[in-house]
Amino acid sequence: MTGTGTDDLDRTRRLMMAVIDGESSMAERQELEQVLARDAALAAEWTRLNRVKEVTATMALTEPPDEMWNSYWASVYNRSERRVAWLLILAGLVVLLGWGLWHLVPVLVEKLIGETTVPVVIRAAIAAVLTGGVLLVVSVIREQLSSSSRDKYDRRVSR
Amino acid sequence: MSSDGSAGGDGDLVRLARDGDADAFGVLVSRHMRPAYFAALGLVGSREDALDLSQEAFARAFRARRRLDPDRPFYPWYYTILRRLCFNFLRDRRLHARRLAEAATWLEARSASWVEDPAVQAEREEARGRVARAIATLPARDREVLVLKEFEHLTYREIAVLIDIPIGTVMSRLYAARQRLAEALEAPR
Repeated sequence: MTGTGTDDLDRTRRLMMAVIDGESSMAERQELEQVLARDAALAAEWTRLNRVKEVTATMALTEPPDEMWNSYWASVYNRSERRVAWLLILAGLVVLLGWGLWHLVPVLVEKLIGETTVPVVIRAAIAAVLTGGVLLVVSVIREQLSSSSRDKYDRRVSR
Repeated sequence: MSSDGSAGGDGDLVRLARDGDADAFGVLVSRHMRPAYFAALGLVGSREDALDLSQEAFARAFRARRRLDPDRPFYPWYYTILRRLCFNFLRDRRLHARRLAEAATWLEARSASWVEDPAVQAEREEARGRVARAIATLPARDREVLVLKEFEHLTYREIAVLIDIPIGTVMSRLYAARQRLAEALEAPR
């Protein structure tokens, strides 16, 4: 590729692509032929790229079985419907868990942690379970809020 | 890509889907599921994952159907969702090895319309195997353009619109991809 500037080289390579893919004009094809006639390195590159095209032209993406297409939309619909169901279940569980903890914590604190006859280890374990439960609920709520606000897809939709 | 807003086109279906007609969205899905699946397959290289990702992208589109603009082409809009899902999927390095392992199975030989000499046939098979493996190891962005061009037979302009890049970039990525494939073909056995 001697004597060829970077811009010229880029243009030549794009011309090669356009000609290989049949997206060039007659003038572009002639321009490429002229470049290749005076540059052996580019001519060799042209040959290699054509060889690649020859091979890929004999290849195809593997067709899946017809049954896949028959059930495709049903799967999309079920998936969408189930997501709504899971979200409802999750929301319900979060509320129930929150409500349960709200009522359970004072009782446990009063009856068990405050009860001096219960061993310290058991009281500590109960405290750990309660704290973990609260953290879990907070974490799930935060994750749900965060993922819905970060969903770039939703931003794309509201064009 | 029949994704215009003309009568009987995607625009009408989008309007119906926006008004709550799920079947209309189903027709849209049926119209675009093949290119969607194959585009995903070209990106992630595994049939199960391509099916899962393309369906997930449609499910997301379905949930957001009320906000769709019927005057804008559906498929390029859908493709941005699909593409994002696929690239996120590919970021998981643990899946990369699996994709490579399946590289030879998602591409196949076109059935030849003539009887080939067995030696030529074997040579072609060898070349296809090399190219298939090389395609699987291409950077995802280059592979995406190559698959859309070579196997989905889109024009440069269609690819540029779909990925939202200039036509020159489409050509540059194609060139980079083909160079890598040429190296794979020439590598010693």
